[in-house]
Amino acid sequence: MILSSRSIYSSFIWVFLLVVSLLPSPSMAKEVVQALTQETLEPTNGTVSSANSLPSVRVTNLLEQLAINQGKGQFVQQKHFSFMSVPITSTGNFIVKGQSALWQTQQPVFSALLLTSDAIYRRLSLDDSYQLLTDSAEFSGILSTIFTGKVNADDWLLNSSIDSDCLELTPKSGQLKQLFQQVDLCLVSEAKANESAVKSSDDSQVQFRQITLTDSNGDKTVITMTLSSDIFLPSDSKALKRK
Amino acid sequence: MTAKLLTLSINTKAKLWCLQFIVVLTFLVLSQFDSNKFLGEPLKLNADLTSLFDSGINNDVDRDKQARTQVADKITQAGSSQNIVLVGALDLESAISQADMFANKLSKLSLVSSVQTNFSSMAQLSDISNQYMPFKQQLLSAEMTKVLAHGSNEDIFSYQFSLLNQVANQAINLTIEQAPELALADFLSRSLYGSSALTLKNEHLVSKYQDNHYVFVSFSTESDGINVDSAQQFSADFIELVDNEKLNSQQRLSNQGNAVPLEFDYIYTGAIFYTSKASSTGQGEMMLYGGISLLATLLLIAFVYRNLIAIMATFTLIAISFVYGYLALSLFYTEISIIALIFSVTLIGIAADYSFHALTQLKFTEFSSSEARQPLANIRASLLMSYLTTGAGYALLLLAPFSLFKHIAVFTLFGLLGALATVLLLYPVLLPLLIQNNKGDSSQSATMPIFADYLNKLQQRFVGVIAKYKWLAMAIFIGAMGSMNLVKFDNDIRGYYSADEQLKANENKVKSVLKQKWDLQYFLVQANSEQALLELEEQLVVQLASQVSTEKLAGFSAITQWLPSINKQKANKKLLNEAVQQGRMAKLQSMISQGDWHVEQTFTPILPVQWFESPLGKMYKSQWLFFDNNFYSVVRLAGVKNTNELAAISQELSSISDDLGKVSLIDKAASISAQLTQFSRHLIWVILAAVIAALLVFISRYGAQVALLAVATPLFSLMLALLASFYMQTYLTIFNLVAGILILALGLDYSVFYAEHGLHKKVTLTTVTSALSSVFVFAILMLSSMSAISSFGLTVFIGVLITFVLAPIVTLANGQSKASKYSKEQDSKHSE
Repeated sequence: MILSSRSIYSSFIWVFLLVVSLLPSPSMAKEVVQALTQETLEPTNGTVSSANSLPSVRVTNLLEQLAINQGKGQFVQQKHFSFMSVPITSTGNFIVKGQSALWQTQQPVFSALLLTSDAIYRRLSLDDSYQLLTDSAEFSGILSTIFTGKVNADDWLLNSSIDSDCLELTPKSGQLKQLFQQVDLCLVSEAKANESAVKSSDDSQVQFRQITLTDSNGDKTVITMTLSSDIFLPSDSKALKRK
Repeated sequence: MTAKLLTLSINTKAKLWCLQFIVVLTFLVLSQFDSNKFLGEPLKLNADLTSLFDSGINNDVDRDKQARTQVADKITQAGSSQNIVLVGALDLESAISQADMFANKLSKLSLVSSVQTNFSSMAQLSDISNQYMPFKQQLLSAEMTKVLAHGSNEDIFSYQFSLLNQVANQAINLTIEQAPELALADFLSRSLYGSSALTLKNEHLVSKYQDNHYVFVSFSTESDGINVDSAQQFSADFIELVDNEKLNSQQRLSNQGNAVPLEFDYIYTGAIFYTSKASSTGQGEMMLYGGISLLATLLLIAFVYRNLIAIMATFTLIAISFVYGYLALSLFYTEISIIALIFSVTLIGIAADYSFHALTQLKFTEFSSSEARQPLANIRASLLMSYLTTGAGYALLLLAPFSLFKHIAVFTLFGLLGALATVLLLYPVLLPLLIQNNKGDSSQSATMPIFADYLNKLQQRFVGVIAKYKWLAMAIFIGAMGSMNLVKFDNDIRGYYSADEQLKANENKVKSVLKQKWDLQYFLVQANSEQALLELEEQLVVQLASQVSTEKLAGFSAITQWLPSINKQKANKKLLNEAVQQGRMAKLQSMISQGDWHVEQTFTPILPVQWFESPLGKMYKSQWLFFDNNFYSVVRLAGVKNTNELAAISQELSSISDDLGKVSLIDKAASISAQLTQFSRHLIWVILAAVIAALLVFISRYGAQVALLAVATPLFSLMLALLASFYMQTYLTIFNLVAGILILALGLDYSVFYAEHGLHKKVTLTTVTSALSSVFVFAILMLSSMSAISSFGLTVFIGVLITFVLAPIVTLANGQSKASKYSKEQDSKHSE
């Protein structure tokens, strides 16, 4: 009986806190519930939640940390499909400068994606010239978010949990919603990065980040990036050109 | 009989004229308004430029071509009623709500038949992949086909893995389990031109451009962009709506307390806006220049003749000549091009010339009582000669294979005949009204304006100079003839009119925002069955892809990019299944072993009838037509750089695939321009033939020497006018040649009178009045903003002035340069 009354009492507290947390104005209870559940409150009717209409300091800080203006490094990408037991894994390197990015897969086979301000190009060997893959603004925007960490607030609802170095992006509307349920951009520790077998060649100013894309079917793509250096060589700039 | 007619009294002649004019008017009214159609169908005016050159030949080959032309016309009409508005703002949601409000108000405008801002029903990739899934092994992209057919196993895996590895590729996610070969994913992942800038957000199509979000609003109008009156009305209403919306939105936002006012950008484009602007500019210019011309001509006639009757008589004569010309067209034809009427304005100049000759004779001649009974006797022969020389030239146009030429010839010949008859039969009645001292004594003539005397003396001096340096004059003439080889023509119809800068800027911005702009040229593929049409289009697509890869073309849109023919689907299935069965995809198979690698043995093709009902197929319906037992498909083009290469492709395909069907490059502007160029060439030959015809007429009356000079002077004026126009414009158009016809006609007319009467003051007065009236009526058009019209005005201006200056040279040949035989007779009468 004592057990049952305790459980009822706990349930009552949970319900009470949950109801209070759903009130329009932010409250202490909301923060408590968030801390307890570590879950994002979903905004109703697709409207921007109060936390996002004016991005919080936390979100703003994360945005600044995640944005890459210039850099290069290595990545490991794992695509998990629900019907497959083993993910599709590839590794390679990347270069980012401003609006342009090169995403070059080395294993298991070579391919290169070149992202420019107006289009995305692809080539399947170093001997080939780049061919236009797409000039879709939306696709460019998604890849730009992934490769450079720059988020377009028009397309995404932004949120971040307390004590988390992750920025949670939820598509606002339209075709992005059909593509993704959620995208998480996280700054990770070296240990966690090492789990993905990413090693940095230069330990100075190394930053690790992990991007998790959850598509509308629930399948996930996890990309672990190691940003190894801010120093740019002329050959890096040259690599970002089509010809 | 003719002699008796000519000697009838003034009153009898006037009655005769009235009688015949009543008959003419009756016929005209009957031809236009008689419900019994006793005189045939009322004359219709056709504004379609492409019908100008219809030679009326009717055989099987042409019927086929006619069908294609009709289909092309339908496509053009459908396209010209479609318009685009982009509503832009910094904030996406504001742009969307503003676009919705604007669309709601736009739909209430009178000419708008439909407005669309909601595109939620647009085909989504998930729907498309579901639609294609039953046919997953029959669809291969060109790249995949190439790799399977010619690549090694490593190449195949490399291609497939690069696709599999792509981040955020929805086609992979949707199809990988059921189609692990990734052929369908690859097919759906293709980058197709014209689809990239717009994204679906909140059920609206939006494009981000220069910090603004632009919402796409599409609307269509009831009438196409060719109807001038409705275009102008609609355009005015539209612009008013845009202005009001901008104002209202600013007020609304400031009422809501927005700290930073939001500006909305409206960009619009469509054929209807161009038509409206062109017609309002044209109408404005017509009113301005027409008003100036009318006023100046009125003042000129008033200044020279100082008589209201002279003004009324001239304008009435011009109107009468139009009545005759229009009646003749109504009797001989059921439909004419409006261009024929425009080109026939040369009639105004010549009819006015007849009037001035008659008025000068009546006003400034001293008649005895016997002469007063036939006051125009002295110029009768001249007027008849003038008509014969002009008529001979225009009659040659009747032999041309183009209906437009025939229309111009009939209108002018009969119009001038009416003017001639009116001048000879009716003008003598005006004699008592024209002379200043009407005391019943017509012997006292009015005094001619002083400038006529002055000009006449100048002309005499000029003729004297020419006589002195005749070899130099001949050398210059021959030099001018030789220089005509340097003249180049460019009848590109696009150069005839300069589009409004604001509209051009709008169109360019729409193109930049949408990253897409289909050109006016397109391919029309024709076949007698659906599959033949698809197969022929597939061959065309191969050629066009090559053009795109070499950057000779930016892009294209064809149905076969989404709907392969049955034969192609079979070939795709065979290629893909063989690759799977031969283990060429073993590496990928080992990676995606849980996918459905089952090779389907049965074949069920996608057919057009089911495909066009699918979400994707509906978007391509406008590019597929059935007409006159043939199927047609449209392949749109963008970024065309060289139409000659595209034309060569269509010819090559048509010749090698004759059993399948025909491929035509439709470029309306180019085809009209080509036909105008052909028209120009014929017109040059007609002008030369007219010169020869006039020469023969002159020889029969005046002898060879006078005839040569009489014809050479207007010909020389024509050449100098064309050379001067070419120098200023860097090229000539057909409008310069039409101006040349007027110069030639007026020049021959002046030559006749100088040849008949010598260098007399009256002839000087008539020719200067005629030249000035032609300048006021036609040459003022060189101020027009439309290049075609301004070039016509320029050539007329130069030509008429030169022909006026040079015309007296003919008097060198008949020895009447200092004083005319006629003036000697007058002087001797005075002395008596």
